[in-house]
Amino acid sequence: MRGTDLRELLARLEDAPAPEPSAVFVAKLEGELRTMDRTIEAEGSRPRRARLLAAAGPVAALTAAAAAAAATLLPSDPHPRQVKTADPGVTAPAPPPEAPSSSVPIPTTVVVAPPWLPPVTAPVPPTTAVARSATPEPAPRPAEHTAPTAAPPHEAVTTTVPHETTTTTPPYETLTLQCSAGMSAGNPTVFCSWSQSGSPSFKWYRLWRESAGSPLAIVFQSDNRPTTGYYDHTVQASTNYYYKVDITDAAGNVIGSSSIAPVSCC
Amino acid sequence: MSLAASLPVLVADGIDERGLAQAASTSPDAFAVLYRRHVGPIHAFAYRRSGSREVAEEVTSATFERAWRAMPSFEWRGGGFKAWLFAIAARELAGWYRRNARSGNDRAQRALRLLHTDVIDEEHERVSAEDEQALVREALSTLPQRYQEAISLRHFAGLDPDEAAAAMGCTKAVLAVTLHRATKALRRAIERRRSVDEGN
Repeated sequence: MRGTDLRELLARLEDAPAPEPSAVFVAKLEGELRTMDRTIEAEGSRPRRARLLAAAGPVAALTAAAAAAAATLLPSDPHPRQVKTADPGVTAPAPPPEAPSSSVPIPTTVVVAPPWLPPVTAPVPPTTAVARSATPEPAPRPAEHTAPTAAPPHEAVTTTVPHETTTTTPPYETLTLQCSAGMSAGNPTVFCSWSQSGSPSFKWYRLWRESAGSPLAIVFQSDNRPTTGYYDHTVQASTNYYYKVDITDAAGNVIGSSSIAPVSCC
Repeated sequence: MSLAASLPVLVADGIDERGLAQAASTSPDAFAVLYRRHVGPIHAFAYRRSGSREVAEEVTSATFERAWRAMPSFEWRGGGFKAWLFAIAARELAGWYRRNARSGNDRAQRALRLLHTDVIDEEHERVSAEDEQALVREALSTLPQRYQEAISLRHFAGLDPDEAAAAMGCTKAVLAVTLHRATKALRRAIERRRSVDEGN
């Protein structure tokens, strides 16, 4: 390469001016991202069937449970079994044929709101789950347990929903939160501590903060259960802040929260 | 005071990147903040590598779509979210060139001819920076993907050696060796293209 060294060329490329993306492009892409369903590709380690069921949502889960019941009743069905979901283009495959129908594991499929919808931080309605598990579920609280509808005894019953198929509600956990303001290395700081979650479904702590003129925001998030405190160094003096901590499960459902802790800084 | 109500999830831009990345696994708003922070640099990276605004936008879109879908499995490592994102963009760029492989555009061909040793100096002077860059870009697209990623991340993305190594998932020493080999391969690719052109 006479007269032109490759490294110089690369350096020129490195320093070459690049135009800013157009505002229209940036806004359009952000809008597309906000409406994008990522559940299908989100967790590559999960079995494809579980991912499809999660993406298909409640109808698929319920239909899969019904299909499992049908497989139990009709083990000699010669036709390939497929579960058609209500979501166009998404088909949840039937259980592997080699698995005995009596022990076909149906992954616990929690019916949740789509992940792109903002989570609800107020006490949420009980999360409905359709589960069939080899291990018995902990006894749900009676007030929140929806008993399966049983057919009246005088009616002829031709199919039976397996007794394992049930609706459970994880208990809503109440956390305690304490926040105090002070100065740290000359900077205003708020320290928040909260009680450790004991929920078996725990996945995330989320510490929220709001102040006058500043929108509600997550200031800290951790998936480490023993982490029960956070120093917030992004506060300003002479400002009132309101904190709240909540916990979510792996699907993003809010499964517990604290009351609001006001603090005046600093 | 609206905390007790059902609230929109708005995430302030002042949160550190690690906290945002953690929140983005469940919060589209947190991801939106990350997106706004990095869409410009990713677009610039793709533009420098491709020289095309259209390709830059296509790669930028694909990068953030892939990142959004992969956020639940994101783990904070050296280089953080930025290095992870640029690594995705580098792979998207390599994939784009693989899908759109072609013999070469006019500008690259012209630059190739003018870079021949027997070209008189006056003509050589006519090789514009754009021509040179087009030649390098095209030769780069013929290299193995890892070499493409190493050169792209180090020279077009504006990453420092630590960040580039993190994006490549290797140490700085390994990155240096990879870069050395990649640069040699790039030089050979340019010379090879010149030989083919001379044969024609």
